[in-house]
Amino acid sequence: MILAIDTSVAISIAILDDDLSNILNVEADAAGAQGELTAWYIEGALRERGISVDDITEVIVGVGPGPFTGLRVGIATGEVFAFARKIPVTGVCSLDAIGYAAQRECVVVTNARRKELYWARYDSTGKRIAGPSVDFPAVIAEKFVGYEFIGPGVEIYPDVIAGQNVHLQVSDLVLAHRALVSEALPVAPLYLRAPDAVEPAPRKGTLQPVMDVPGDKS
Amino acid sequence: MTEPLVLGIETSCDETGVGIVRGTTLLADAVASSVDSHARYGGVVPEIASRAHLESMIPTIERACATAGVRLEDVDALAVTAGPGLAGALLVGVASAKALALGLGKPIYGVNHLAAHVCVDQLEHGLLEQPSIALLVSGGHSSLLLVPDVTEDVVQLGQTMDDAAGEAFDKVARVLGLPFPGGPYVDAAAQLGDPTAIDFPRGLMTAKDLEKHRFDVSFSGLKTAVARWVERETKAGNAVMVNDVAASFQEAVVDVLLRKAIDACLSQGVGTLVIGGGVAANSRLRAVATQRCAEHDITLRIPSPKLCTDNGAMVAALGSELVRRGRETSQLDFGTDSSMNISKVVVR
Ligand SMILES: [Zn+2]
Repeated sequence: MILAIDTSVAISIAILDDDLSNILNVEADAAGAQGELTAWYIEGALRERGISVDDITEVIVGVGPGPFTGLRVGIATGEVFAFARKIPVTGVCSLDAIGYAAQRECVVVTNARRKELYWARYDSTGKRIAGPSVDFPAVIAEKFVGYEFIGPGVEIYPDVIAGQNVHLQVSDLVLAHRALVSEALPVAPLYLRAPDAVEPAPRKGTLQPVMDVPGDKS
Repeated sequence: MTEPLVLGIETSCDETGVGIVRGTTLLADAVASSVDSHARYGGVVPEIASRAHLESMIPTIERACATAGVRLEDVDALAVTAGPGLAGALLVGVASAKALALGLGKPIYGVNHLAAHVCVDQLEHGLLEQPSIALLVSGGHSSLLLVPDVTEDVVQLGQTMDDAAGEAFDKVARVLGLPFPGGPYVDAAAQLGDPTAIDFPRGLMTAKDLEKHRFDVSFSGLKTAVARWVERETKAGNAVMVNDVAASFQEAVVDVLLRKAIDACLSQGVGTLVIGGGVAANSRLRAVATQRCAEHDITLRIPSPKLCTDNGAMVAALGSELVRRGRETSQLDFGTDSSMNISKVVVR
């Protein structure tokens, strides 16, 4: 069985049979609560279906893009669970879940915070042909005039990017990957942005480090 | 019967720590630090720390298991820092520890970082006396605690009103042109200087302060005094004697911390003082603590410097003690708490 986890938008967990039938999906609109609930939901799902952790033979995890803090929870959970079980784990671009499920030309948008959206463009087979990337809504709108926008990102700047809000279901990510439409990625977040950190300006008249001048006692 | 094998994970700041203990025997203390990535920013950058934790987690777990000579599946229980600390950093450790608990089918404790700093001393000096007084000093905390039972009953007597002790060291190091983190550099410079050269102020030590803040500390006044002093000397064209400033500053910090800690022991009728946290590695603090505890017939316990700084062994040590006492474990839906109060030792 396959365990799939994505915390790039909210929490989406799925357990699938190896032939991709019999899907159990657990969804929670719990952005900000990934740390509390991700492992808890997996435990509950396994218990509810009477599945032992021994039955899980593979893990697939959404590697974003998405708000970093929540995203990392799903990746750490999937990666460390697979490590503990000694089973393989694969990363897949989270936006592919929505793009593949749509099966039509579209641009998927999700919340990137800081007044920006993550986006990726898909063809009619659900294959990603541009992105993932991050831009201001106006830039995305200008880049994709006449395209259909879908995904949770459409609800944030409806005046600029309008379309249909489609939830991310991680089982679709597994289907996209199995259909060879979504490529395997390293199990690490697609950050797309450098951490903001500013180096302090050197202090005026900074003293020489004492290690270099041990005899500075005059 | 062999004692339980406990794996502890610590990610509250910039150290990814994974420790393994059996009972009170330390088997492994693997630490991956991102401190070098933060040095040029003059402080820990939370997002950089979180990224580094995720990258280091599995290699650090592997290293700990290899050092301990145990297989992951032999671990009997997990423990992880749930707070206090940097929110994003804590989450990586907690998610990882929960995934281990889930994957291995083993119980987990989400624990308080401060209690772990106290408990780690059991790995070197045997079970803690009950009660003990604990002085925790690091870049993130300065707390004076009454510890009747480290697994469930810890009372905060005092804390810093502003900067943590280690923060004061970092800021003074910067004023003196010393690298980050400042603690070891100030300590080294101070060893070449005269601690009585400059009479820097002792915060919250006046009779009036002691009425309201008997066990609290404050370092911002001291930090400002050092900066002013350096500025004045520089303006006057005098060569600033870095070693003397470092020694005098350090003396003021150590003096206040230990006066408050000894007062806590005597007033509470407690015969044991435990010192922990990164600043507990400071050579002057260790020396003065040894001397003053001896004067007052107080048993002093300080872990070796490596166990004083943030590490996974301290979390494993507390986890092991929780198992030994048969304390209730955490449910998998526990959260992180960046400002977790010490009155809570385990989140459930
Ligand atoms: Zn600490």
